[in-house]
Amino acid sequence: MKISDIGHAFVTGGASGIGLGAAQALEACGVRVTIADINPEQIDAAVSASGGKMRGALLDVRDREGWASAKAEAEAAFGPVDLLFNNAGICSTGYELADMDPESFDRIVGVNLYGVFNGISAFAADMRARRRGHIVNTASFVGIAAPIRGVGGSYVASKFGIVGLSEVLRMELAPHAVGVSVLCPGHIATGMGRNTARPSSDARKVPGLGATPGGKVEDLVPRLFAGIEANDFYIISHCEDDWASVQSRCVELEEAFARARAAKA
Amino acid sequence: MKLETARHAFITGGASGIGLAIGKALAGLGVRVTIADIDRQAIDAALAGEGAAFRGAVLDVRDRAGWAAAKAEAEAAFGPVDLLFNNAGIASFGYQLADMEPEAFDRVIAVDLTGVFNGVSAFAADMRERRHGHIVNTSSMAGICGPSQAIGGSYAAAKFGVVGLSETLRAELAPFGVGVSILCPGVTVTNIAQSSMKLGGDMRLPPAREPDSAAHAAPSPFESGSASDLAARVLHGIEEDVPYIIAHGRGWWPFAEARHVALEKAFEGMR
Repeated sequence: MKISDIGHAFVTGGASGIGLGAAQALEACGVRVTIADINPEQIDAAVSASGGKMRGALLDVRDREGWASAKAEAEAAFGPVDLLFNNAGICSTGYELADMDPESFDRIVGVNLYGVFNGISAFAADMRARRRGHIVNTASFVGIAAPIRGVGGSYVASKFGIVGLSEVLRMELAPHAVGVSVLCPGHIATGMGRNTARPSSDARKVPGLGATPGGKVEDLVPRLFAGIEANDFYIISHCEDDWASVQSRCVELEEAFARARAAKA
Repeated sequence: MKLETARHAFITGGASGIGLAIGKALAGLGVRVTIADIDRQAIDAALAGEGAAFRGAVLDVRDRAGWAAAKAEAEAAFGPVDLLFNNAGIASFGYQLADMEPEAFDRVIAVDLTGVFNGVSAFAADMRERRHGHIVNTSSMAGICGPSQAIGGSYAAAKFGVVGLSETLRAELAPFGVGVSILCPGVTVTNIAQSSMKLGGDMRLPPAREPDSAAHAAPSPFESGSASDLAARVLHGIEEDVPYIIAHGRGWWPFAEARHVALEKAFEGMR
């Protein structure tokens, strides 16, 4: 689907970071954009900065009724959504799984994984019926790579989950001409740390983690757009040199299958 | 972990299938076994066939207060748990993600992913402190393979999540001498379909799978195996402290490899 052919994009986590960067670039290409976010001040700032061209939707991606009304209002204003960017996410750093507050686990998985499902639940059937659309789910490099010290297991679980869910979704929607991509960014300079810290006990500073400045959203957006247009499944950004960490998992799995075959011999 | 040092295993989904088979194998080695399950009748039936090495615990793995009580009672009876099997799971089949009842999605994630976290939450800190133990989390081929017609999206999401969680857990606990392994079974003869439907009807077999058409069905490319064969693989995996325990894997490797190839292409394409 060409970016310039997109009628209406719905972007969660759209008021800052990757979501806002994508939204602004889409708007500049003539796409009508709804930015959905949990933060009303950031929504207002983003909508103002667009000269009122973008519209905002206050949405907690865990809230299913909220999704239904956000969709109805968005489509009444800007027509059917043909690009869904399930991008809202919060992070967890500095807490080991054995010590993690269960409510924190629920919150991370709730926003990151359930939130993505809720977006699919709201929009995918209509895209399928119209045989038109593209869904991008934001996972992470940590959803495909070996563990990184200090990155929370709840975050990794949620991001692996998004990858698995997206793989099935792509297979299910392909016969209906709806594309699906999963965005796997490395370390990007966004507000995710700040956005997470507000609820509380999910993230604390880890020496050495995020020590180098993150990549720029402006550099990620062209990758994202190229991936949507080519209907690539994995859209990788700012971790291109980290294949070894992804490959190590593949190698371990291959060894495990080999062990299983040898056990039968 | 050397199994000769194991004293007490706590197994969720322990009253049937994979869980019960693992319990029996461990009891054969002299380990005491708590089988935790949501199904009281299945627990009673399982215990009726076993001796003093077994006890039961009625537990819904989504229930955190239930976990605390089950742990306290188990350890009062059989001592500290040094082997934890987060094995309870339900499946989902026959529903596309776009059509799935949200409550059904929630249920699969809650049991299959959050339930695993709850077990870790209950037992891992104590194992870490004692510097002794092993945790096996049951994922699936659905957690490591690219999609196939057999796998529902909610199940894949949960089982991929278990893999991610467990890999991190393994790295976190290794410095403390506590092992973590991820069990990835292929098709195993168990009650998962019935158990899933009892909790809420998330299973819908495609029309071609009606019972009376079984004789005409094409042979499956996937091997199907017994829970007891799988249990032997699990014990071996614990002893060797391997990260992945593959069981009944024949036919699945191409689906795992397909992901690896696609990932490699994605990275090459970016350079």
